[in-house]
Amino acid sequence: MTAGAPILAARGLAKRFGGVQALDEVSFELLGRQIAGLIGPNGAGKTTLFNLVTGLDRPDAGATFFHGQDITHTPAHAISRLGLARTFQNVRLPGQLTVLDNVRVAFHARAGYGFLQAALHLGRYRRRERQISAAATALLEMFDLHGLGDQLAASLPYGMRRNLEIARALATGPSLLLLDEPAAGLNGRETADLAALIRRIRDEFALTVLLIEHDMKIVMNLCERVLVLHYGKLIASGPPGQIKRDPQVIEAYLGPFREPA
Amino acid sequence: MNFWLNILADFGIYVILALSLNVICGLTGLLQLGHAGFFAVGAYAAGLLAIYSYPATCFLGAGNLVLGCLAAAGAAAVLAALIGLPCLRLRGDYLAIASLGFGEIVRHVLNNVEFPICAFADRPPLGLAKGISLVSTVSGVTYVANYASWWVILIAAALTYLLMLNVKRSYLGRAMMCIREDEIAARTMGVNVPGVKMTAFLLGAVVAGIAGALFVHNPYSGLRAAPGTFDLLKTVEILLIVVLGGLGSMTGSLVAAALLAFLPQLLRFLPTVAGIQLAQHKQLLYALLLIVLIRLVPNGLLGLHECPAALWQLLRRRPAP
Repeated sequence: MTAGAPILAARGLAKRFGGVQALDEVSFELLGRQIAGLIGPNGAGKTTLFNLVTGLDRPDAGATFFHGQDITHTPAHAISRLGLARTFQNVRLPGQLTVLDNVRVAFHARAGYGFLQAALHLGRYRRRERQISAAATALLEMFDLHGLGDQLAASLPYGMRRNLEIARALATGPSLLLLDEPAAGLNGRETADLAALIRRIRDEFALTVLLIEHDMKIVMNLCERVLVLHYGKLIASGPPGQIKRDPQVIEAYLGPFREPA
Repeated sequence: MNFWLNILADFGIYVILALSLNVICGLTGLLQLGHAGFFAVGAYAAGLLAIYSYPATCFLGAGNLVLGCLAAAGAAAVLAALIGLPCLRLRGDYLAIASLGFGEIVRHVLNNVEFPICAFADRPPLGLAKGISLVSTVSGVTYVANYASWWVILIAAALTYLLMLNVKRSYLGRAMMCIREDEIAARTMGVNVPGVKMTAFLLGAVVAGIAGALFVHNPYSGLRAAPGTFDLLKTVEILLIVVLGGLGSMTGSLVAAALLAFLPQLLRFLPTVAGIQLAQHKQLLYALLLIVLIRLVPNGLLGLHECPAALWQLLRRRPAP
């Protein structure tokens, strides 16, 4: 991959749900090692865009490219294996699995042993399981979840579940991480911690991060680039300073400017 | 003595069946109501192989059981693949109905097929409602292929238990449990959901098929397999063990199978209390006990765990934090 080539590219993505045009001709590119923000009022199509990119939903038109490879019709699990991971707005964790197992699931595609090796409890299975457990435990430590590996995921408080979901996404070995409202429901201090954490994982794992966020403080401080969706259309994209002054963005958020009578 | 060995062999078969269904229902969360069908197919495949290969394979001795198990596994796998491809796309209740239909179809087909007679079974009918028998009808019953004695079945049950534990603790088991809890999460974690579902379905069916082979080669079962054995009630019995033991808990299936195999027999020895012969009402008491049990432990005896939580803590002896 040449430096500066886009990690993720969308070309003319469109998706309609019944009478609602959720996405309309959305095109953008994400460069490597960037932290980018995706903002827009409720119902702007942000999560739909995530679903199309990760293969959970199919676009009516347009295409998506990941590292230059067309993934428009690639199944979700295969996209994940290519190195595109995500979290969900309403944290999706198998609650009856332990915290450790939640992270270990994400090593699925890289297990490194087959069914027979597992069934017969062969050396390779034991060795790889040890390595996977060690790697999962290291991730848990990074997210302040050490010592909780035996707990059921459902028993964790909300903030920890959110962290666990990010840890699990990282365990798939991604080069691009999509975070859907990671700061929702966090207080000011937790939000600041999260911002620091996102920066840290970007640097440590050499990631590109695209996050959906409503908290403008985190978007403006953390993101190097901001994409703005409004009624399914991409109305602006650029550095946060420029987005803040964009008249179309201000109109989308505050309504059209009217002269006081 | 023979009576208790019979129960022991029964228990072993129940363990294998319950473990195999537990992979499908417990780990992967696919409600499969046709399990007796795979059991039946395995029993018939192994039985018919023994009948039609007579006397050519007599010299193999106990090897006939191995051949029977292979044939049973193969037949169950082919059928599971055929059923699984269309049915595993169905969700929840629909899969339950489709698989229930499959189980009934198997039973009805077996009930209505008459197999050609041969050197081993020279008198009709072979098949139909009477089923097939590994006791030869040739001039005064000489050939009896009873290779799956109680200890063979118990060893097979123990091996199945270890196999299922290994699978549960592998990447496959984790993927299965993740699918049970949240399919979308599983997909985004790189889990090929239809593939893993099919693996679970095939594994469960193959093991149930092998249970069928052991069943038909088991002298305590009368060395016969008749369609009536493989009805919906059989599936329900197996499912009962899985649920009672705890969906997803292999050890739970083991414990519950022991309970269901031995409890009805033990109830026969109940004393007479206040003029009521309790032993006479064993069916009633048995049902009552089941209701009480499931009320007390709605998640099953062991829930999701392989080991009761208290025992687990004791075994781990974790240093104080």
